[in-house]
Parts: sequence; C-alpha cells; structure tokens
Amino acid sequence: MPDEATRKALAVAHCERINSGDVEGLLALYSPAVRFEDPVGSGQRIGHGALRSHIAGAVAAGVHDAYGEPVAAPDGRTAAVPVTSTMDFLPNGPLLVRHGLVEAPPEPGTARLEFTCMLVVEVGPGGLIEEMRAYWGRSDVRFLN
Amino acid sequence: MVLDEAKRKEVALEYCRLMNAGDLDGVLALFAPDVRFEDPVGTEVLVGREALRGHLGAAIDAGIEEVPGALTAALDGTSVTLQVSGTMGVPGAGRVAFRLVSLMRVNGEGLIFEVRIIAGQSDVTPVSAG
Repeated sequence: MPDEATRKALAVAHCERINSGDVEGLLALYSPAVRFEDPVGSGQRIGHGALRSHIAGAVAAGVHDAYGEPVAAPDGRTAAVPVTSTMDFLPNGPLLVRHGLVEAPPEPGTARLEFTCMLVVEVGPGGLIEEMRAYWGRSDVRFLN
Repeated sequence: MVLDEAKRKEVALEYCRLMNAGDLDGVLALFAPDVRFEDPVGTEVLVGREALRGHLGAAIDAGIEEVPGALTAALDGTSVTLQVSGTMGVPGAGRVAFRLVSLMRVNGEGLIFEVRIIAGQSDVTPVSAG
C-alpha cells in the first residue's frame, strides 16, 4: 500500500510532468485502466488513450500547474492537492464556450485562462494512480487578460 | 433543484466560520439529517447529525481554529471542495497544526449531505511553544 508521502509525490508529479509537457511521463504515473473525470460532473473517462488525449490538449495550450501543499488520507489510497492552472484559450477554449463554461473572449489568439482546481487521486497497491478527479466549476475559471 | 456554485461555496465557508465561533448547534444545522461524514477518509463513516455532535463538539472543545484556503466547486451540481489549515489542542500533545482538504456535497436545500476529509498523519505537526 503506498504510504502518504508516496501518494503526495504522485499528485505533485502529475503537475510537474504537465508543466514539462511530458505526456508519456505523466501517463506512466497512471494505471492503464485509470478512471478520470476533469471536471467532476463532466462524465468519467477511462484508460490511457482518453487521458493522453485530454492531457495533450492542455499541453498544446501551454498549460502550467501551480500546486499547493498536498494532503493524503489514512485509507492507503487517496491524496489531494490544490492547483491553479493557467493555459491559453486556444485550442481548447471554444469547447469550453460551447459548454457554457466561459464566454468567448474578444481576442481568442492572446487570451489566457486560469482555473482553480482541487486534484484528487486514488493510488492502487502497485503505486499507479487508478482514479483522478479534478474539481472545478464555472465559478473557478477566469480570463487573465 | 441544484444549489449554484457560489451558494455551495458559501456553505463550506460558513462551516469554518461556525466551527471557529464554537457554535456547535449552528454547525449541525448546516447538515442534512442523514449526512454521511468520513473524517478522515479511511475511518468510520459517521451517519446523521447526532453522530456528528460528539465528533464536531470534541473539535470545538479542543479549540479548533480553521483557516480556509483554496475553494472550488464542480459541474455535478453538488460538490464543493475546501483546503483548510488550522490548529487544535490534542490531549498529551499540546497544540498541533493540521492541513486538510474537505470534499463536501450540498443538496438543493443548501444542506451538506456528504463530507469526506482528506488528511493523514503526515498532515499534522506539533506547534512549537513560544
């Protein structure tokens, strides 16, 4: 069973590998059967292929995750870390507009978004993340410029 | 009926405010009668307001002081999350500092019906005297 420090390190590694644009390195933190939901309420997706597509979109938008202090629970599985993510409006922003999560900006090519998010991971006995949930809503997204 | 994100966030902050004020009955009034409360995740789930009375009353008696941090909602219509740092007294250990993340779910009437607290031994440290 992964100890608290190991689980916290995995949550932080998720952010650091996103920041370095290392999509395959990030996937290596996750079980091939990972179940993830980002944001919670948008529907659960399953597997490395779906996660690769999801993360690659964020990396293409120049995402940067500023993370806070992680915490871990005594269940041997769960850890959480608060994250402030910033990324360009393009290429993913129009999808957010279609879902009513943000308004269309006047200058999409230069607009940058900030998300306040709580990242929760559940880690399996083998040390891989088996479940990831990102909690953020409409009130947690804003334009930086 | 779904409570909007801003109101769910207000409920989470009100929980901290009332705990800090030592208002146990006020805190309990924030919860649905059949609330499920797991503090921390991995321990027994307390069910119902009266089961919470002893648990939260003990924290108030220990002089808990909570400082709210990052606060988020979600698109599921019920969830709100809150990062908290704080201090409280522990018998035999003096005062300790703690960090936690609270995953709350709030119903359409504005009552909290589920709480899951993520915090472990590594999130608690003694407060140095003086």
